Amino acid sequence: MNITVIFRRLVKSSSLRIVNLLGLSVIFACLLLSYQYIRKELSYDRFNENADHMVRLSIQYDDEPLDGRLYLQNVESELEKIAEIEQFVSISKVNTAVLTYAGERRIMNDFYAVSPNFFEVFSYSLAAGDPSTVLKSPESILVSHSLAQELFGNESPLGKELSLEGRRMDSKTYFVSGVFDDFPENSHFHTDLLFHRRHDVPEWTYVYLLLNDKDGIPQVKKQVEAHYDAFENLTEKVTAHLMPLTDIHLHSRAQREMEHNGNIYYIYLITGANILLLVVVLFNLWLNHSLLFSYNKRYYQLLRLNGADASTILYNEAIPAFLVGLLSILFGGIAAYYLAPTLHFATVNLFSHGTIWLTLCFWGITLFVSFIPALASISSTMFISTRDSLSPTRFSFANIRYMLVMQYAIVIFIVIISFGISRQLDLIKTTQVGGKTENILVMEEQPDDVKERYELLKTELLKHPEIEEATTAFQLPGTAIRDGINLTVEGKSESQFLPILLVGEDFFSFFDIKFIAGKVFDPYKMTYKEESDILMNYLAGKEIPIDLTEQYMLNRKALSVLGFNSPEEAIGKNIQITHGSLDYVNKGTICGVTDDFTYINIYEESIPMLIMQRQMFRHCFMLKFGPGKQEEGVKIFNEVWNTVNPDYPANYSFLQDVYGKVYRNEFNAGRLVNLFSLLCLIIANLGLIIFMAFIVKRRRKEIAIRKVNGAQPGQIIRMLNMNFIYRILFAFVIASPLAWWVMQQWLTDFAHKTTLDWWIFALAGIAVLLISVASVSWQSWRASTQNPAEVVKSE
Amino acid sequence: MIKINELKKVFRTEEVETIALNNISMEVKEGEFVAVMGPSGCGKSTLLNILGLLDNPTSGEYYLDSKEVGHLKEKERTQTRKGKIGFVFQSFNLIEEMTVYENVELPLTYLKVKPSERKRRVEEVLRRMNISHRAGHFPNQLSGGQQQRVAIARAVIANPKLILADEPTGNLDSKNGKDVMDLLTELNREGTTIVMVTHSQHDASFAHRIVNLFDGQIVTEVQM
Repeated sequence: MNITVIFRRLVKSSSLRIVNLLGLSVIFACLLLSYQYIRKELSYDRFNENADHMVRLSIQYDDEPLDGRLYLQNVESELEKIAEIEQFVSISKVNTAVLTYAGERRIMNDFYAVSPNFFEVFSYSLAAGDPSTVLKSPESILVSHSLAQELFGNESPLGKELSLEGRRMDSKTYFVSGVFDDFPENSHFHTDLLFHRRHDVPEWTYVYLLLNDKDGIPQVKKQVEAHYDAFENLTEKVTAHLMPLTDIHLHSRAQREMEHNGNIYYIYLITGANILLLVVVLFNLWLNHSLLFSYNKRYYQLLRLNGADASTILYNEAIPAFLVGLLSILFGGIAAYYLAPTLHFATVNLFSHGTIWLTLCFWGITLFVSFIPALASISSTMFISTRDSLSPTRFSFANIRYMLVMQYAIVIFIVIISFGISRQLDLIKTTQVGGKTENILVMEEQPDDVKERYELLKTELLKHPEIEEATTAFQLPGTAIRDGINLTVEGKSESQFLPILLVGEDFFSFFDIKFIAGKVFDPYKMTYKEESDILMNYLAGKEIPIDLTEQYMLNRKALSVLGFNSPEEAIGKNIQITHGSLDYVNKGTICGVTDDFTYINIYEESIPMLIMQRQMFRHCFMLKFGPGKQEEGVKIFNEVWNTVNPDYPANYSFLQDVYGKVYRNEFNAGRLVNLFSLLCLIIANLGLIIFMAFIVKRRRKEIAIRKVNGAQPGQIIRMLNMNFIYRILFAFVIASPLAWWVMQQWLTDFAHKTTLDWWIFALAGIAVLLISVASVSWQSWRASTQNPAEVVKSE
Repeated sequence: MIKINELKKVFRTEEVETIALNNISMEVKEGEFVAVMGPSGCGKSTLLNILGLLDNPTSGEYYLDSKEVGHLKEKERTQTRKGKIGFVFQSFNLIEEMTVYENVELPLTYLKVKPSERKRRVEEVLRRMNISHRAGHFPNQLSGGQQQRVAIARAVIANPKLILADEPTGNLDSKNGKDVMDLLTELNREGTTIVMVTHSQHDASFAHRIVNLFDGQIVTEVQM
């Protein structure tokens, strides 16, 4: 068969082919990128040789939120007794400390003290040092390859002296005993420093167990629970959670994870969105091929009349399908390759095994779908009459109608989901303190020297009009509040436990938190130095002044916990607190009650809180720039910081970025679903336009006759459009309950949920309907305004 | 060459049954030129389709070169037809995306004739049809008469023994119509058997014999 003829025919049908090419390229790019992303997400921690046999142990008391960590006190000796546990590694996190090397100080965040067998159990590779001995000495510390480069340049790091100093660790000097390669991206935690963990210090640690047998999890769980019951003699019910190492990244919902994890539901979401888009694209492909085949039928009949057989017809169908498939793979591949960096994906490896398989499957599916119309009606290409008209032969519509409804059901479904997710994202921003404000600068926990100068820093900064407000808090918004205190309200015998938040008096105006009774704290009376002296005396068991009192605030949730019937009732009440270290001042009065506010995250209900001021425990510094003053503000901040704290570099970020990390999965899902719904809508509408063109062509004569008999253009347009409108409405009826159900499932993750009002569904449906009607109306209008005389004459 | 016995063709739809051919028997000798005439709907084209192996009869026998071909499967029909039967239509039925040359060459490609041989034969037949100067043109660049000459060239390129023509002059003016009839007569003189369906008494006069059909039956046969 002459290939040039096939090309001539291909050029003739180019508009339909281009629509297919576009759709297929888009979905192929999506498939490639999604595959790459999903593969990475599923590969977390699998590089560990022992991955199959490793679990992380955490303990849940009653129904309290699960903490990823475990309070390690006397637990280790108990774990050693369990035969199924081959080894275990305990890892405790240091949030902030000052690292000093050769007199130069730098603030280090998020690094870990680990058991000596860390490198024997985990497969992180060492650039220098022996895995079995590198952490043995209490003075051993390891640095990452990149930190070694920064600190020591080309010098050998081994034996170098580093000292660490921080709030939860004694000041101590270490010697570099090894260098580890930077942790792979698909590790559930990353760090630049690892040092020897002392066994005798009880603290919150992440505990990883290496089991003899991966099926031993239930026995280990039972034994751990039994041990806990035996030695702690607890009233609460203890549940041991043994999470397989490879599940942590996607399946863990524990608080205080080492880093913000992924979420398996987003893998499902991405897969689902890809499948839906693929269905829409394949439907279009099938529709176009059906139309093309019906146009080509006469041509094929003529070929067969001249001696061609069925294989020639299939060959004629195959070449364009083959080409369009190939080109879409090419264009989609190029698009994915160039889009990957902008989507913060690792570079797409176009030639990996998986990608090649994906490509072949995709090509196979497109070829198969392109072939369906030819295979289904190959017999119609037999030349059975010398008098067949040259116009396209009849074409079955029944299937297309169902498929069109299905396609639109998909489009409406995904548009509703996208509206719903956007609403929830909006709720995140409005609910979370400072969520709507773009210009809040935050600093994680700072060293004591810096904290001592917070007041000075604040005074200096507020001299500049670019800086509106500044405040301090125990922890940054978006992190879990796990510290609590026991308190007794005057006149009540029973003490209550309340989570605490320590803040500056300017905290409430900073975040626009509303009061429901009373007023804000008076400015704090003690200086950092005075407070520090009192704490030191207290810890040393010395006398402290007994007349020290302070002010407290409650949130709304705390009222009922403490047995107050109204916010006003709480004001002026005296309370007494007990706590291991905070009760160097242990009494005071309630001065105000705030409305509930979301400081942690919206996955959890607002918790009852006691809010208090303590200079020494306001670790984090936050400041707000005036609107549009961010750039100048940052410059001023840096200048002021350098004069106030010349000995420490400023390490800051923006609250939006902090939330961006907390809600990484949600924001990604929102972007993803928006993109997919847009693509679905565009591709479905292109299909609709083509289908409409075909219908109009088929009904040309009917329209002409109607016009001859007095139909107005408006009536013709209505007649043609009604066809689709009914179908889209039907699709809406199918899609809405499904979308509602899926949204409900998704929202179960959140304590604060957006409401799925009826109008979200209506709006999504109407939007799709209007866009679709608008895109076919041009065709309908043209059909309705044609001159009937010409049509009737030409038929 | 052709012998049909009690040939019947019934078209059925859900509600109506139409008898297109009602027990027709006739014979066409090798080298004969037969015209089939009759009013619209009398079954002329149905007869031509069956003779051309495009369709099977409902019942009856059809012998082509003494071989029963009335009940072959589609694949066998194509095989039998190849190189043996050429078709000429009222609406020319040229493939628009193929040049004149490619249209004429088409049947040879399916007969697996070597390219050099194909080239020779196509050039020869185009010369004979007086259309070689248009070999590189597409059908829509030609006049009706030229298109029909290309269609005839395509019908004869494989040297078929039988040419079936369905109203070959129906879309042509009288001058071009005459040229086409002259060509068919010439082919017949060289030994090709021709069966032609026509409405035109003038065209029919070129034939050796006229068969008149009415309501699916042969009413008269006139030897010229």
